[in-house]
Amino acid sequence: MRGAFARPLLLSVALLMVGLAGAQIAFSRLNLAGQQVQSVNLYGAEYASQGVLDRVVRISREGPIIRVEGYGHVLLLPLDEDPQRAATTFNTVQLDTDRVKARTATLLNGNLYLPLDTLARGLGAEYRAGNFRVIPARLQGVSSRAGASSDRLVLDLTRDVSFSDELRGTTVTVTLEDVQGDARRYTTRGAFVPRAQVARDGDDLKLSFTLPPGSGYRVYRVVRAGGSRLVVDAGPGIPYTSPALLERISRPLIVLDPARVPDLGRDVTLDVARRAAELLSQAGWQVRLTRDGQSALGLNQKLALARRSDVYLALDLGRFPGTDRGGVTVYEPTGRATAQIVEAVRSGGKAPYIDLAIGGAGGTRRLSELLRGELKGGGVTAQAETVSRTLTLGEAPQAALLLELGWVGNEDDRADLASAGRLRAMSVAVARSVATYLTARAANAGRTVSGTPADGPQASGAAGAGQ
Amino acid sequence: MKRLFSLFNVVSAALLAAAAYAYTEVQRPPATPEPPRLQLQERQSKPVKVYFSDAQVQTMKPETRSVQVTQDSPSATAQAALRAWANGPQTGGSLPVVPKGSPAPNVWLRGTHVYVDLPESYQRLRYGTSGERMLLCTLTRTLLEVSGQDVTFLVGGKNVATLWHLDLSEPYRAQDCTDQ
Repeated sequence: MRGAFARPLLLSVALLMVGLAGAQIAFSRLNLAGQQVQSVNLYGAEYASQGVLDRVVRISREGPIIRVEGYGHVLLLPLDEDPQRAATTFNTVQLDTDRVKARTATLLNGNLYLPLDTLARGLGAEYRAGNFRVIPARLQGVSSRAGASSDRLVLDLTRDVSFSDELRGTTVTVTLEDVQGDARRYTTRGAFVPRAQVARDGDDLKLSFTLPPGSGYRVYRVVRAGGSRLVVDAGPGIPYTSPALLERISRPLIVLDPARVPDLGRDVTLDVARRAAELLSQAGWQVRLTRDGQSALGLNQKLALARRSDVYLALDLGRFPGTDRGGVTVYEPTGRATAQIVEAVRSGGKAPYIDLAIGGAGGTRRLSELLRGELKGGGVTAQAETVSRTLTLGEAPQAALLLELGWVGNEDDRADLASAGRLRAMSVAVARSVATYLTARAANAGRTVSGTPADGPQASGAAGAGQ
Repeated sequence: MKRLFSLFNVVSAALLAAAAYAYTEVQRPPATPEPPRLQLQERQSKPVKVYFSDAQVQTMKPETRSVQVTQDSPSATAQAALRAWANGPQTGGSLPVVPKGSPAPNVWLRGTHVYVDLPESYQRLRYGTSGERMLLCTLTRTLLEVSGQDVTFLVGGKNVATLWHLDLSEPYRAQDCTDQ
């Protein structure tokens, strides 16, 4: 009799439990920044899967911590594999620099789910059940305050955004990424920053102003509920700081790599390199040669020097059995750079001051044009060609060229290379083109170089004196 | 008197006979294997495209050659093509890439990857950059005409960073060796 009641009772309890469990996890629709997607209601909190949220934020897993990046914010959410516990507000999550109690990330069927209310709180978005709205980033206005030792510019934004700042010459540029706003000029009452300009550059807004002599600047953000502010202080009261990269451009390193050519009698590549180095050193430039008459750097030392160089110039002679080819050729490296970081930046990597660390192909082309122009001025006609997969040139982060001084198998070239006048003309062309290129590069970055613009004519003069 | 042909005796006798037969079988010396007949492998002719340098060491000039192979495999064809490459061109206007009498490099194929072992004597050639490019690229283009997607160069059986100037740390592909 007892058994007859027990079975239906157990079945009823099981069905009730299944019903209760089902009630804790239910699928629903979510409007995520204008797109209709699926979300999950988990113990009363709305969660969205990583696949869905990847459309608006960048999510990565670092061990037991989920890192969410987007809209200028970084959120760190511990992963709790128990959904019920994750959906409580007793978890500690990090929203930028604040640690707060909130719901955290969890796994459902092996997929990562994140709580929408915590994300909205950390990212500065608006959230109501079923609707997650990201406020568009917009510059609402620029205000200023004049101070005794510094002026302040305050940029009012609708939400926090990513920004970067650069000082080139005397111009400070603050770039606000993916921000809407009007391009216009602002005037202030300040003595140090009397005017500033906001200009559009693609999707970004750029604020620029002139930094007075003897002044420094700093940029920092103030995030508040309902908006964000970017504060720029500039004036003599702010210490002047400058990135090491900008300092380095004032003292560039020139590396000359003369190849050792056997069976020619005279070491012409070394002759040209030595003479050019002498002219450049006299004008105050820092030059290194990869070998002298007796000893030479090993491959690894040479590559290390190439990586530090601002100009890398390899000097060689053409050698190939049976060819009658002759003449001077300037080779520009093409294709993939062997150094991964150089390749990454040249393929579109962006960061402040990155062009000072790794130059694009434009610098090499400019140096090549200058060198061919100077050679022509010295009565030497040089062809331009490209070469790929060159080891040392591929490691050089800035301008790098290979100058082929002639061909060993060509009678005319051998006669030319025996002439001291021709070697001197080539040395002078190398020295002048490198000095002109580096001086222009430093001027573009708003700096002077050790062979300063004042020394520039001296560099040319020294080169000229050698002729 | 007990029966001579009882079930036990019959079975025992059968087992004894089986054991005796098995013993004679295992003691029998194995049959002497027939030596394989000597068969002369038939050489067959295969057309391959072999690249050499032009007179100005700027472009690569193809030459269609007929090479003799004993096996119709990409590996054998590639090795035969490299022998033709090392022997130099037969038409005017092209230059040999290595001096006459130089050994041909060895080649292996692994899937879509080709491995070339350059003889150590090549290091003594000491070409300029354009000459070195011509050496590596004529080899690359010759081999990729036969089979494979990329060519990795070794020198004397070892991985090296460079022969003289060019980077050998990564394989060469067809796009590394386009004519300038």
